[in-house]
Amino acid sequence: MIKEILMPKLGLTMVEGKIIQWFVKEGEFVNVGDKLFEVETDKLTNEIMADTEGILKNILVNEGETAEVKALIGIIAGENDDISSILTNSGVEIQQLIDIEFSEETPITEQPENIESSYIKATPYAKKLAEERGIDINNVTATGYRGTIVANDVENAEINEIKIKVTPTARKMAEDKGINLAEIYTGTKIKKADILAIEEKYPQDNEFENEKASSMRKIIAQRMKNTWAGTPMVTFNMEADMTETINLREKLKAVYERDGIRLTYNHIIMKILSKLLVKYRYLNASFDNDTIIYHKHVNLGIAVDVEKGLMVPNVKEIEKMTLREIAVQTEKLIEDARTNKLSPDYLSGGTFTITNLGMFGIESFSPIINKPEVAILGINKIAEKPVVVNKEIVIRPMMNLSLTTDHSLVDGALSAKFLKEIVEIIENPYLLID
Amino acid sequence: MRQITFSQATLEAMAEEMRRDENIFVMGEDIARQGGVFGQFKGLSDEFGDRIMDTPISETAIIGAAVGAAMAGMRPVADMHFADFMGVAMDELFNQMAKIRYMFGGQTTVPMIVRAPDGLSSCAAAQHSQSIEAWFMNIPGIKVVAPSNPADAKGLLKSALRDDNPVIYFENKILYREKGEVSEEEFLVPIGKANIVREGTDITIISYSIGMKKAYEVADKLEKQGIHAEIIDLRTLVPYDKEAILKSVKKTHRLAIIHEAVKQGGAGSEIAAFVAENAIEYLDAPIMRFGAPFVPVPFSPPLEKAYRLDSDKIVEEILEKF
Repeated sequence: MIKEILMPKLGLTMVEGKIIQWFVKEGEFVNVGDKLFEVETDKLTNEIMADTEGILKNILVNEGETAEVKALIGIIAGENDDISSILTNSGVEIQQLIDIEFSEETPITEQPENIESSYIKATPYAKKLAEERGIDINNVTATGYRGTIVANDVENAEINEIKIKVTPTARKMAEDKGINLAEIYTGTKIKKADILAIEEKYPQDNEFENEKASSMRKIIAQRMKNTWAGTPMVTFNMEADMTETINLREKLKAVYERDGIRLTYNHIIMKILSKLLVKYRYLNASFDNDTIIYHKHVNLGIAVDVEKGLMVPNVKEIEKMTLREIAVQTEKLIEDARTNKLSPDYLSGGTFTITNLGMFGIESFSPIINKPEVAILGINKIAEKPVVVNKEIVIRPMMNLSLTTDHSLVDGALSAKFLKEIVEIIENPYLLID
Repeated sequence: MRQITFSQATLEAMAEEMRRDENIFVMGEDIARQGGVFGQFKGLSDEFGDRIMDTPISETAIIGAAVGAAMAGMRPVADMHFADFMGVAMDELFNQMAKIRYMFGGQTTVPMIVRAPDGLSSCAAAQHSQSIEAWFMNIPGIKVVAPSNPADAKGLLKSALRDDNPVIYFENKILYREKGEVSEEEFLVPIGKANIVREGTDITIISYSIGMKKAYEVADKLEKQGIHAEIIDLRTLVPYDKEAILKSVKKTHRLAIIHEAVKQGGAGSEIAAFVAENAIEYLDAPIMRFGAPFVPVPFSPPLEKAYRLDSDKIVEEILEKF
């Protein structure tokens, strides 16, 4: 039986996916439930299992390549199955015919595609140059004849890479010991003796351990850097007296618990936000160059720390929800995020985000906005503090709120007004039924 | 400097050396009375009388007699009329001429020259148009030279006439008429030394004999594309100048070899293999060989034209490798 492997659609908004890894090599046998490949969308990465047993005959989309949803990315088939018609339809066979037409004098037979693809085509001189100059030939873009890396390509690659002259032995030693050649390069060729000298100088060569960053970490890093570099962010802080909100929670908690629902301060603050964000349209918006995009609904995101990093699922159309519904839905999303069961749709389309570091004792911080949103609310620790009420010093449970806004759309006065209104409702939660 | 033809240059070399060494004499068909089919012996018999001898039509006899004379202390020059006819005397050439010095442990030498006019002329067909230098690159005991211009023709012939080993002197039929600067002062061109006729940085083009005309054409066309070709005139095929080839390839990182002879198993194959063995790490493109297709030379004029090297096609193929 022949099974075409298609790029899965992981959520409504997914249009394409990138293959991060094939767990099975071409020609290997897979059982139902075996890990087949890992795919990355702009939101997350997922491991896809085989739902058919057979031999993985062809990988049509290689690691690092991107394919549209429903595109043919591989074929599982039995040993004697003829898959040529599938390949013809997918354009693979046609490509091979063209190759043959252009190949010179007939006796030369081309290597099968899968063998060639793993070999880096570079001229001997290009390889020699790359080795001499410490350039990884894998990172060089080929512009030469028949897709071959030629010396010129290595020279161009060098512009982007620091030129490091190093003997092959020294290179190997540096790799083994995790020494970064770029850091010790002074312009003269690095030799074995230089590496040994470094070792002597810093005898604990295990001070560093390198780990390749996960896809999620790379995505987080990229998004954070882009936001940080491209957004004028201001963080505003204001304290709220939690007395009334604590009372509210204590009274509702017991009621909710009967139905197995856990109520947290997050849920109450989310309820407050769901109300206010309908009123403060600028805070529930996106800004795209010269266009302000107001979102019809409030899709409220909550930052969840998961094993490998951070995820921000959002509660859709929260403005229509009761506190009870908010509590149920939020906890489900958090649970799904932590068990990697989250549908990607819940990771996109958010309009505002909250992030709570109170349980770690944090009293104030500057959260980074989750683009393309324009604001994020940081929630801090509730701490008993002396405050002045009616000219008397009393002890009250206080909590600081840290609101970061994108100043390109949201001005300081508006941010302050919004934050003040949150605090007002926290201090007088009866306003929720107003 | 004065300009003389290739043919005149060989005549001068013969006359000068025959005056210098009375052991030199010439045997061949139609060379004394007629002066050679290409005029390359014209007037020699006036000065040297019976040292220029017309022979019966028997290459076997000519080479056999020359080998004997050389062993007896003479320095015979055997003219083959057309290189294509050497096949008739092949045993004399490759078993006798090439091996005798070795077989007798150096007790005798065979200082002789076989003059072999070769190459395409105009519709001379399959048996009168060949370039067969590669055959003799595979026979130890023979030196092989193939000059490309009048000066080298003279200098190499004079060196060959003084060499104590058998030398096959391939002289291209079309080149006989070509003029070039030749010094009036006496000079020799050493056997085994290539000539870097044009310096360049991007590709080494190696050729010899008539192939050099294509080498220049190709280099000129490449120059217009901004590619500076280095041209090596090999001059001598056995021994060939390995040092010059390696030095150039290590500089330019690309190699093309051009010859009129058949590409398969041609001189270019030997050079390509030598470079691949010794300097593959310096190559930034596949080695390119340009020679005749693997077919007999056609008589038909359009087909003969198609058979010839085309510098435009060579340029095109070279450009693909950049």
